[in-house]
Amino acid sequence: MTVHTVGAVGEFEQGRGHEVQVDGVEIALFNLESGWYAVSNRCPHKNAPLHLAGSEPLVFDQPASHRGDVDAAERTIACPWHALEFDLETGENDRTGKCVATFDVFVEDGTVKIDL
Amino acid sequence: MNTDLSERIHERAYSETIVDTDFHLQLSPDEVMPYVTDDLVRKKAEDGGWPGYSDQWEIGYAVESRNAVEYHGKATTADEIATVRRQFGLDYVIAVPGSSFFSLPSARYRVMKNALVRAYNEYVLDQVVDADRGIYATLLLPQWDPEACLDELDRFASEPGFCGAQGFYGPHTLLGGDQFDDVLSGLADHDLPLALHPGGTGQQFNDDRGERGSFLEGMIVEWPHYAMANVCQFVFSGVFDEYPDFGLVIQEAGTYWVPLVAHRSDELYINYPGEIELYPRMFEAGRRKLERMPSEYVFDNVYASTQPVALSDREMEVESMLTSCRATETFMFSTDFPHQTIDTPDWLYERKSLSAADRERILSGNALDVFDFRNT
Repeated sequence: MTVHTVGAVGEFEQGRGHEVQVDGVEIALFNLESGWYAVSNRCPHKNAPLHLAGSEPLVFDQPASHRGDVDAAERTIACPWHALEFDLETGENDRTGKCVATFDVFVEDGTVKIDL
Repeated sequence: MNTDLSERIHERAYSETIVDTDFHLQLSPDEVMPYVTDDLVRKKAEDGGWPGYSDQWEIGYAVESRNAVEYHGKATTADEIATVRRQFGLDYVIAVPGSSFFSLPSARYRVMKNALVRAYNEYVLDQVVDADRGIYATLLLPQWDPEACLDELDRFASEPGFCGAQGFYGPHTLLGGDQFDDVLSGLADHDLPLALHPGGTGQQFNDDRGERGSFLEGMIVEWPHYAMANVCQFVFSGVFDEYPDFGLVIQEAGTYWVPLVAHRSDELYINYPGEIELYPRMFEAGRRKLERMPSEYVFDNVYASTQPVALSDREMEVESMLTSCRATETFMFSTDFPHQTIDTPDWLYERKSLSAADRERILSGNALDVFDFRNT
């Protein structure tokens, strides 16, 4: 396993997902009140970019519901395309058994690191 | 080309031609109200609302989303559609009615429904179609009223922005019957295919025993059921013998029904050929047999928009499905934007069994051949 630095803590706004590339691997990084989480950035259902969980709809004329969700308290995200929910710690959707890869992520000296 | 690839669609989608054959305009009836010309109808609508759903299943129970039908947004003008088009790598968009219009075939008040259809078509002509940006639409037909269908064809069929006609399959009259002869003739004269989308949602899934427990079961069973019923009627009542080049596009029924209808129809036609003589269209024309085997009509005249593509985890089974459906001849790519059940073109790029030429047929070739993408 190799530890990779992905950026300074301040680069990653809290409460939403961020797309990072680590050694050719596309990862969705989440900075939440409950901690830092990193999962593969492709939903196992139909490859949606999971870092967009909780993002706004593509076109809307008034504030609308968002696509997918980021739930810091439950430590889950829901896919922005089809709302499939994943546990950020286990990577699992408990209804279908579909899994997304998870990676160890930690903060050291003000930088965010992922163990790949 | 928009270089913002935040949706992370396969990069090759942006350089290959893609036609989306099921892009929904999530218009509410109130939004087309400015296009209603009859004062009495306007007053009725303002006082009492528009005919709509009844006994509807609640899609909001099926998915944890506050708004599943506008999950990805709401694009109801040419500019908004163009924005989405760039994001998804689409080259042509065929705009079709949104969920507020699905239940019209089952709703009451023909006068109101006809006026709403006219207003929708006027809105689409005014606000949506833009051939220069590849934005076309289907012409909504008031299928509960064949005479009114002819009025819509007279008014709009020559407008370049309408590339096909639109109806709904569901728990209501099938569209291949002889009462639609003049409508089908009109469509053939204008070289417009007929696209059929699931509709009549309010009364769907309510079988006699009321045993459907979920919207989920209804979508799995009822949509292909009503789609197949329409396809079979078109085949066996002689529509494709009368109009050999007529195109019938089935939207959102999935794909697996294609070989079922094709080959089961052949088998049963061989066993019971005399049945078709009693179709009024066949009887009155003195036809005692079809000109071709049923499967030939299914593979030559009928098309399936691909969303929701339901693929096995086993690649061999996916390949088998594509082969048995004759996908390169019958499939037309679709997204179902903006509904929560959206498909992107990525599933086509992940198939080792599909050549670039195969993919081209599904992404755009079949739709470009069948729909009438006239320039203004």
